[in-house]
Amino acid sequence: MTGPGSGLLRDAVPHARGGPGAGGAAVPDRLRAYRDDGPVVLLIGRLGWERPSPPVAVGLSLLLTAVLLAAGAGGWYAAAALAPPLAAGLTGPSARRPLEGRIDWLVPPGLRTIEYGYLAALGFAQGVAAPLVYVLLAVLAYHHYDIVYRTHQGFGAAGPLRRAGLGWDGRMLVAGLAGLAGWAGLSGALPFAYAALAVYLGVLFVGDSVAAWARTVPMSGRGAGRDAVRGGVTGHLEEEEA
Amino acid sequence: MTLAVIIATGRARGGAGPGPAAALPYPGGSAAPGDPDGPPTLLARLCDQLTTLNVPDVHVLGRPDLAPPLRAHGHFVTECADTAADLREIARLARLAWTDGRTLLLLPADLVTADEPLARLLDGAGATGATGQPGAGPPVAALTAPRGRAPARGPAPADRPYGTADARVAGRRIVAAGSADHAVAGPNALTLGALRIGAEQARAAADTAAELAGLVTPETRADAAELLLVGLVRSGTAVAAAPCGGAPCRRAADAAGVRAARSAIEDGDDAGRLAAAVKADDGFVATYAVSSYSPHIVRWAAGRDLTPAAVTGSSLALALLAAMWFSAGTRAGMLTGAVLLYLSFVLDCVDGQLARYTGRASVSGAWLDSVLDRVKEYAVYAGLAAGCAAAGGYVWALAAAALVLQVVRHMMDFSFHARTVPAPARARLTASLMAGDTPCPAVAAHRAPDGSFGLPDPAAPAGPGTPPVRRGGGRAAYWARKALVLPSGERFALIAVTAAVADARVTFIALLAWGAIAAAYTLAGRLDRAVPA
Repeated sequence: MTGPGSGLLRDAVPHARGGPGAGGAAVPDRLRAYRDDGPVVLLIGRLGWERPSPPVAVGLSLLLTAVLLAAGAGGWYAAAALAPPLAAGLTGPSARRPLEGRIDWLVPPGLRTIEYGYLAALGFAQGVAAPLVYVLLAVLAYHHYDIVYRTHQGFGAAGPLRRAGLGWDGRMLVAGLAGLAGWAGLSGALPFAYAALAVYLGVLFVGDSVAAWARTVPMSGRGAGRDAVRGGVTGHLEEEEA
Repeated sequence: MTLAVIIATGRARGGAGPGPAAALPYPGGSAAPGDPDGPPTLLARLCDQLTTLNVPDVHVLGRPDLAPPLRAHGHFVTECADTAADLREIARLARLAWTDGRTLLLLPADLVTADEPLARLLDGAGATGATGQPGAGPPVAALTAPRGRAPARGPAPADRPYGTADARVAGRRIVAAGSADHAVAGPNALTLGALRIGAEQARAAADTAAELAGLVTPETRADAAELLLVGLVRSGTAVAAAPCGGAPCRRAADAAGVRAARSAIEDGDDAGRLAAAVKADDGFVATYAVSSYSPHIVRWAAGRDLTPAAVTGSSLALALLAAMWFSAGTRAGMLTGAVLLYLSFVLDCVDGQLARYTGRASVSGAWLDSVLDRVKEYAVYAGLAAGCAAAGGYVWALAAAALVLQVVRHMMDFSFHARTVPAPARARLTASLMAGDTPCPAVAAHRAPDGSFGLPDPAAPAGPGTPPVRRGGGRAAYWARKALVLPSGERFALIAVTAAVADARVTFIALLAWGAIAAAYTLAGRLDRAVPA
């Protein structure tokens, strides 16, 4: 997913441009990086409509996805395949808006709920091997924790590989299309898509982490200054303070 | 600006003939400022500490027969023949301090202490006093050390450590001061002959010292600093007690005394660093089931030169082993897995403590630790689900649900902490956020002293089991609020216990139920604050 979208995708990861600054200006960028938007959503965002506002768009998408999944379970299988494009269409227009509202911090967890919930429900309902569903979710979880920990701790910006992660919308679209194909008679399309996504994204994300580690550690391991203690290090994000 | 007067009139005991106690060697210390190649002595160390505290202007008083060795070490020494001469010289310097508006610091040359007590004694002038106004504290303060029990009446036993004098402290104020020649009724503290006199009281101190100089007789055994303190207290000057707290602080008269004081300082530094390496706001399990003894492991690992990353890796390996045992699905496998999971969590706490203790905390180490914590947790979920499948059950959907719930909960936290708060509301919001659910060490550290007279007490080390700020309701409520949000220690304990005594289905249902309650609790609290009524 590079090509004409590469400049666009750089916008998708704002901290890759500005650097992981500690100032207030970097904060909305952090939330935007947490969104993990893909090329489709960002392309729609270029239209600049900015409506509905991000939390409203995410809330509506969450509701719509749940309804369509329930309809799919109720017999109208194609309904489930409609959820990814509709969610992307709803959240896309405001994807570039800075997340500064009082409840805008609910946007990233809302998007995670949509993506993970959709992939889990679709996989389990369509008979994808349960461990495979779990592994795909675990790979995505790794990716999303990695985004947070890296931006928070200033440990290496997102590598160029990160742009190939498809975004939440891209991954949902792939799964939805494969589900549609499976329903249309192409048996095995959905399990194959899950396996392919899990392997491809797993290699991509873990490889990106290893590359970042290899870039940074030769300096930090010898106690060099650049990687030495900084404000954010001891203040771990590891724990969930309420 | 401060003017320091070091009284180097004490004689060393034992060893190679009588010499100044100030010239006792302090192994590994620094040389005198005037002679970088000189030997590390007590006096040189004290001068070095004063330089660190931004007090370069040091006057050394010595006896004529003891001054030459000190001069040979590069110190500039003012010779005073006896205690009366000491007092006259102190009076002269106090007048100088008064004229220049400077603080006078009086120290014995054989004082062996960590830096904090000195810094506290020196900074006392800006301390918050009874009125809460900076600078309202008493301008005169004396360093005090804890004293063993003494009979309330009658003469105190003469077993005081070298160089100390009795005192009685009430409300952080020295209400009675003793010396070798003056007894104190009901002493409850020791003074060390270290005094700070603010510029506004320097004139009175100068007069007192001059008056005392006229009263000294050949029979007087007390030294100048002791006498000055007695004189100030008896003349009604308010003298604050500056307690050295837990920090080692003593005077040494011989090489053995220096050794004892030095090892106390180094042990104290080490214990302090170790205590500081433990995170102050951990959950109940991490605090009591791990951090109560993990500093021993940290010290051992530091002695073996283990790196934090190696400990992180061992923790990951143990968690993967636990997942493998869980995946067997047998009772023995579940029990073994639970034990391995606990050990993995212990090492998970140790790696961060080791990094902070050895000063090797790094961005990459923190990142590795955080990411691998999540890998461990979700690998264990998978092992449990696989074990249940091996035993004929099916809990993969529950495992996936537990993973999704945990990721969403974490993402809520991360996003909430990364949000922008509208500028005018920032202070209020942050304060309520901190007070609401998570203790704020910064608030605890900067809390004003209780307003009583005197200097701020040295803060107790925030070690394990010391809840920082509490919202009320006591310790039980504090830990309950922390446990309600299911922090990782509680999560690991929940997994280990339920897996050991029940099965994976119970584990996931417990994780889902507790996690859902935690999510609802935090979400409700944050929305309540984010959306004003």
